[in-house]
Amino acid sequence: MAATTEGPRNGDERGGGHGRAPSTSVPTPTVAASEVAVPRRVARPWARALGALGLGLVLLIALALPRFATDYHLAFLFMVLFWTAAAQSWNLFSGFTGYVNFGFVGFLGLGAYAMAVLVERAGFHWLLALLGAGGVTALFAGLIGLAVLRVRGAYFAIAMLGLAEGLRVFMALDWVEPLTGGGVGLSLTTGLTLKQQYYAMLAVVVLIAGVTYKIATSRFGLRLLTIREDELAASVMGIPTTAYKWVAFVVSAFFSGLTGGLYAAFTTFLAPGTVFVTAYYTLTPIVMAAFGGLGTVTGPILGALSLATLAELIWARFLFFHLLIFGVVLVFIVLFLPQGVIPWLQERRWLPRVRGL
Amino acid sequence: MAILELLEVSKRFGGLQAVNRCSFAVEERTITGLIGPNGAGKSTLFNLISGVLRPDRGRILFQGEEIQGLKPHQIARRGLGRTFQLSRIFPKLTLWENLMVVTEDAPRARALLELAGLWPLRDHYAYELSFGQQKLLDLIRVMMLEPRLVLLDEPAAGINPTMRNRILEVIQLLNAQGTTFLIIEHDMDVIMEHCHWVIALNFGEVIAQGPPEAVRTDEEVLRAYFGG
Repeated sequence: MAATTEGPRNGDERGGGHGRAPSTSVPTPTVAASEVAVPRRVARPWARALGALGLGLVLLIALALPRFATDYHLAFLFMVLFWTAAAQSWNLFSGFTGYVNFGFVGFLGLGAYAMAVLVERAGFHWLLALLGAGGVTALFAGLIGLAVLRVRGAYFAIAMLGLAEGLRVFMALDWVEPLTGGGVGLSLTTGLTLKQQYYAMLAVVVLIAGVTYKIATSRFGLRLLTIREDELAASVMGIPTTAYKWVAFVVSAFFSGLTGGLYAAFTTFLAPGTVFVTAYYTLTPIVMAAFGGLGTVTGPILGALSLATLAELIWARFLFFHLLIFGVVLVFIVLFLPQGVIPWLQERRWLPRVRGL
Repeated sequence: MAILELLEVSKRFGGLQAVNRCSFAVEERTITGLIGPNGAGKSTLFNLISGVLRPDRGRILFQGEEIQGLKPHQIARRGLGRTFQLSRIFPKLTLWENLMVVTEDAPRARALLELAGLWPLRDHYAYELSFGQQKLLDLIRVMMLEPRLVLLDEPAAGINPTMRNRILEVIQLLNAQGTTFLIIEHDMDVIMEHCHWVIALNFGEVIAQGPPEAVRTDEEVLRAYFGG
């Protein structure tokens, strides 16, 4: 575990003789530190072992599930993983920096289209095409990030929304039709079985979770959080916020591209009107991430697993009714749980206040 | 020697000349007070010095080098820190993290937390602190930059006398250890007791400067505050 978040342990020597730190001759507080029980910021070894055990168990179940699943179940499980990857990708930038990416479907769609074009038109192997999908999306984000990351708040959200719409229109243009199939769309065959797609998506989920954990427990991640907290204060504390935002934006886009690419392999058919649907592919990951907890590692996973399962259960019984769910959940979150499940538990100290959670 | 020097600095917002050809120097190792009625341009001046705003005209020298075109984070890294009138701590980070964000110097962070009496609270979220404690956190967080000069925008305003004295005590101590302070303050008693030098501003211009006793009785300053 990265040592960056650790506070000084109780045995630490006092600060004497460290650079220009105030000397310890200074009058110190009336309450001795040892008298006050303060939970540590780093999980205790047993807690970490418990966490690792739980994680291993979940992974084991995820690996074993296809053995017992019908194709219908497998498709459902794939979609759960897809939403998990999407919510995590969105969270990696927006959850940490507080910049609401309202054009998330643009990243997903670009990844999906890049995958399809590289497989169908360029004859790439699916894995190479998938990496290409991540790369193209990251490149796109890197370029537009230079412009859109200069605006804040609602203006950023609107700019991103506009970009996603622009991409939808672009894919339907006549002069890219030889590549994208224009308004009619294009189909692709990767040769992957449903089971293989499932495992590929599982690998992407694990990869994003691992990277998010690394970021969350690093100084880089801590500094991303300060952008969400108060960007001006962060900059006068010596943090180059624009550069930090840009890096997180590009990493998030790369993973979004991977997620969208595998989604293309799964659906086997893409058209601008079915891919770039903001109300579905942008809002759902946002609601999932917000429900679990923005800027956390496990929150988006928790949110995606629970909400995707809930939606499926309700959808199976009442067609159309599931459309209502996310609206209701959104209202519920805003009213009662604005910080999300994980941070809510941390505030009550039912979960340790560690950042890798 | 002057650690900070402003030369003919001007800033205009639309029709308002917020800062007008402002020139003054802050001597090293002093606590210098910046006073003036509301709207005199004090906070704007802080924003200009710290890079939050760019001056329209004029030069700002920090340790002999021009800084007026630099970004806020670049200026901070050179050792010029600032706080805001309302504390801008990071509310949902712990106290410890609030300091670690700036630099991962654990011994320094611990010494500062102990100095402020906040060490026992280090694992609390910053929003869980009282208003006065937040101001203290704000003050020690900026000290994590190992700044040579710190601009404090009303560090002791609006809090109870005990906490206010504590903050002023901390400032005095840090000053004794070598940090220069430029402080915006409305309380004349605070100015008289703690400042070595005072600069008075009105309508964006320096109207008087000197030792506290001299500035307090300066006619222009009295006119600015009381009219007449």
